[in-house]
Amino acid sequence: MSLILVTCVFFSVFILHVAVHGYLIARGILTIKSTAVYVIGFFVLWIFHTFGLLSLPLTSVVYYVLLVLVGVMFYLTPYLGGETPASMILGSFGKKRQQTFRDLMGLFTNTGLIWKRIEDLQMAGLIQKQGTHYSVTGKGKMAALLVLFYQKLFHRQLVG
Amino acid sequence: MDTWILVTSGASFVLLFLLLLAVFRMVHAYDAPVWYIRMTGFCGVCCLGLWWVVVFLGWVHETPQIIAMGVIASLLLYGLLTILFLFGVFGVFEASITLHILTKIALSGKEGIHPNAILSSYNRNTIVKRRIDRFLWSGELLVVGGRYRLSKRLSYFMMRERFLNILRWMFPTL
Repeated sequence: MSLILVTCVFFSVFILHVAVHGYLIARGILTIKSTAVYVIGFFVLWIFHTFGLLSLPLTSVVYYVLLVLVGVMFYLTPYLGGETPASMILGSFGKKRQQTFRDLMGLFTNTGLIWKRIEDLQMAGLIQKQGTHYSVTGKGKMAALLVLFYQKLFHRQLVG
Repeated sequence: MDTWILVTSGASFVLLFLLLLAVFRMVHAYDAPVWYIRMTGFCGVCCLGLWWVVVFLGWVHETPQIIAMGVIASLLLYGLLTILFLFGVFGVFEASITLHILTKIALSGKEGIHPNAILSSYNRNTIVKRRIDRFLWSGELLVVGGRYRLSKRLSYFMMRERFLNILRWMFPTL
């Protein structure tokens, strides 16, 4: 019963988030602050708890938090991930069924794959330009260390 | 009951994390996603096993219906944790071109690196080749007479792309 209520609350707030996002976009505003609407869900859960409707209060809160994290993650995916090279390669087979390596290479440019990302990293303050060279900032070093820690921990190499 | 739901789902996720630490050291890099799914399923079964132990030892005194609901709740929480880890950590750290470039720059030290030096070892040629190799390994692409073609009508990446299209429709950009 608790989890059904939490699921209903989450999807109601999710629909509200879609509406708020659409409203802001129509006015030329794109902001991650629209995710603040999920706070409403916590108030609703608190009200349910006050009226004794949540038989599993701890589980309900954790469940809602996880649903919100998944929701926010999927909300950010189109912006952070964009159209990936992998999906562009597979998508290209919808237009042309058989392709050579050269055909697939033709889908991309170094400008789109590398240069744009270097610019994005610089704009995000993760790297800085010193003359003709690029080096990481303090923030970028932390992010890179996190990646290297993941690689070391899971014994992985970046396949990107 | 409330606590046991959190304990069983949390313990299953910790077990998954530890198993991935061990398994990723042994399997081929391109097989990692397949093993992630296998280990997720295995730890889901372990979650059920933990519930069996909890009930068998008499640590929970509830009706079978309420215990069944508790098991479902545990699996739901565990499922959400694995989704978060898969898309939020594993997916991002494994295949992000941006993070790849960032680590290359970070490893160059204080002097930094010239963009041409990045391009000499990491460019569209290497990026496309790695993805094609991965698709050939997973069987999503086939080579016929020197040309590539799709072997499956519906692949993981196709599904991902369709899902992303729904997200783009729900959350349009400027």
